Amino acid sequence: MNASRYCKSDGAPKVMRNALLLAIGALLVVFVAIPLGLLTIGMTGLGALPGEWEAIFNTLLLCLGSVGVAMLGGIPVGFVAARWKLPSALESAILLPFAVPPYVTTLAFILLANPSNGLFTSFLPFHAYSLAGMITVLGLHLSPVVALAVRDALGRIDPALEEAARVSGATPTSVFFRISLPLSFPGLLAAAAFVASASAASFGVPYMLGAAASPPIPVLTLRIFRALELQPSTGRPLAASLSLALVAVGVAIPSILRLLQGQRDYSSARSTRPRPLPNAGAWSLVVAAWLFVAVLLPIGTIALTSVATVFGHLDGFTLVNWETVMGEARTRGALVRSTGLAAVAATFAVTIGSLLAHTIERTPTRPLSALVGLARAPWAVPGSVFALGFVLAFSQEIRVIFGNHVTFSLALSGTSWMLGLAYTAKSLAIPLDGVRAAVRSLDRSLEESARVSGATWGRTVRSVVLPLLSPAMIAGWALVFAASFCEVSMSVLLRGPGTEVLGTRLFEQLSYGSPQEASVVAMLVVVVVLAAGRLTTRRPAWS
Amino acid sequence: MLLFALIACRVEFGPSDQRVADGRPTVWIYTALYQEQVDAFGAAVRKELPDIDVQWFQGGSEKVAQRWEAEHAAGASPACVLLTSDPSWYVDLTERGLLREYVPPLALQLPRDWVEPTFVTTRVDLMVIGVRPGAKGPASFHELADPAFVGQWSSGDPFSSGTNFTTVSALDQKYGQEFLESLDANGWMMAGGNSAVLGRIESAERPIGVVLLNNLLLKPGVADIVFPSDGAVPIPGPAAIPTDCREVEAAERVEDWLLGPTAQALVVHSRMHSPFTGAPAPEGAPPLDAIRLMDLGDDFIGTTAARAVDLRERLTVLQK
Repeated sequence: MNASRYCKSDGAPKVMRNALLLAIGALLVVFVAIPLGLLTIGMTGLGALPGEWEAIFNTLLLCLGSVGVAMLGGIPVGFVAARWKLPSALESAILLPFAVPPYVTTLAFILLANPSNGLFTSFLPFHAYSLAGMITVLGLHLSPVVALAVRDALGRIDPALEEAARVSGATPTSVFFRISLPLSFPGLLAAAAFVASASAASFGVPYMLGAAASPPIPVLTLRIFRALELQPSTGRPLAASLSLALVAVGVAIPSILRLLQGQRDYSSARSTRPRPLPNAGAWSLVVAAWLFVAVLLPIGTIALTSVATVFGHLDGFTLVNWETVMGEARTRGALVRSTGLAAVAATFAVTIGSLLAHTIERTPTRPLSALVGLARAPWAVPGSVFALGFVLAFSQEIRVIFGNHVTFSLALSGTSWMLGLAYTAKSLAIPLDGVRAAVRSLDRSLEESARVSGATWGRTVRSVVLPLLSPAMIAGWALVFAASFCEVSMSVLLRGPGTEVLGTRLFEQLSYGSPQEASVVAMLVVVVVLAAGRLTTRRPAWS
Repeated sequence: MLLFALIACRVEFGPSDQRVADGRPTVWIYTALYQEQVDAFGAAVRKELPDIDVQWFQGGSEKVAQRWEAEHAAGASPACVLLTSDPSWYVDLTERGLLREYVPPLALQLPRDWVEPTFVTTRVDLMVIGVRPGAKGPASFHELADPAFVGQWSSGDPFSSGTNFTTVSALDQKYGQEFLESLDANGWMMAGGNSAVLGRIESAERPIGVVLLNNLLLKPGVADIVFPSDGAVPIPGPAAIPTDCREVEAAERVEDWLLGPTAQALVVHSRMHSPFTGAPAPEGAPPLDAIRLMDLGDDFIGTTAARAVDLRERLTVLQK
């Protein structure tokens, strides 16, 4: 063994590590920094913000409220998934609220809770067109992120700690609040940061609920939307300024939360999953309630809408909507294309995010921190704004000419590649935050032991790091897949001929077609994401 | 070696070659037509202009404008024909010198109101009132301010829908700011697009809606059509050739085609009105000259464009 091949840190041989990071840095510069940078040209600066205090205040309330609702639903679900053996269909269903596009769950929520004739309006203290309505929809939509984070965090905890508490007489509830939950802190904080950023950058829910409220409820994304719509030619600078505020929030929140975590060490040297517990008891009621509110009710409403003769009424059913949508070659093509693009985007995002996450946690440096901030930035920017950045950067053909003889040409505009790259760049924060929290929980001694015993860097990664990080990586893959599979905002602006995806089909149906046919498209999304969820909940052989 | 490569290279930006492999010019049409309409128009133009490769980008008027403006800011847009539903954008582009002057020969047969030196109306849609069957509805736009209809009606979002903005501008020009305030006081919900309005009528959430005739004709039975007694609002669908276009001759031929008999028959088949006098009406609707149109003066589009920013700001204040 040649010890000089290893650097002082826990990372790879230096040359390989630096080459990988250089490649990732170059990709981030081209596909994140340049689009975002071009958006800022001519921007009005943060001077626009004082006039937007109401929008900023509402956005903060939306973030905090969504985090609260997501935690309320996600923590118990994640705990149950980690500690009891759930049927695989149920475990896949955890992802569903996140997979179904918010446009569609909002449509279901409007049917259920609009102030005029909503089915459940009389049972609720608020109706759909309110800040509480927006918080409820967003919080439930993002609760799977918390659930998966808690499940994976608890999966890494040494079961001896909880068993010792139980043997000493602690009740299951006491064990949960005093042992399990605190040890899940890094994962929870990462999930909270993610939920807050996603809520701040959300557009569909505020547009359908906030803009229709009386008076309308302004949030930053709606103000950005108005800036772009009011003056497509001159509104971009103001939109960029407001987006910058969102990016600042998206980058600042994780930093603040990491300060809250402090220097406490949550790492565990355990390398096997705990045995499932027997009786779930009262926890199963909590999960059942979440399943009903977050999964069955909205998806059931969408399913019924897809077969309803008259929108919003249950007095007649038909399969005509299904026949119409599935009979269109364009829909079938969009389904295949979306599946492929989402899978590719998820794979790239997890690969890049995991590499960055492991490296920054093991060898934190300022340049790496900047790279991580850059990778996280697109998630905080509304999809339509980020898409405009892509148009600014890549609508022209880019030709790199060497010595007047060799030309490399990059013509992305209107291609599926443009969509795939946009999905990847937008979703990098998902696996980055999740894997980073997992690495933080991983005791360094495991990797060090492997190297001291003679394992190469590659062997250490394959035999030690990957198996322990795989739950977080797989969860990240599933979340990126779900987010990209039916992405709407970017797809509508970036698509070209023959590159139709499910998101654009859904947008067409919602904007120009019928809610029933839009619901059919939404049900296709549910089916595919359930299938993807089944694949990702299978445990790898090494666990 | 890397340094040498970097020194020896140069980077160029520019539009892609807009000719396909067989040498045919490519004409990009950026349109707000619905996708089914694009499919029909696309098939027809491929058949009648086989020597031109026509490609389409389809989105709402605002999405088309955003994409085009971003591409133009990046250097040049490949769009050679703009075919949306927000006439005030075309006035704005004309004032900025970004549209070519071109009047198709057939445009000389159109009423004068539908023809400008830089853009021409290829189709006319009408904003009317839709009422859920069995519900009582207003007979005019003015009656929407009647307390009998408080909280019962909705329109699309004028900030995101060109057709709805044109309608609000028409009401503003005809009745003034006070009328808009009275509508707001009467529970005016402005949200989503025309399909969302129709959805609210269908689900009975808001059984009355200000909605495009086209949407009502495409989904018969969802709502009864009320042609307002104070006049339906005409929404022209202009076509124009931007100065960015590099295949001007081909673009002019496409614009000529859009006013030709095949395209106009498709307009009517798509449940919209042709701008030509005496043209057949879409199925389920009377001819254009039999419908009372709102009297908006000689230069409605120009006035709409001139007052657009002011109106949007007043609407923003109104909503607070």
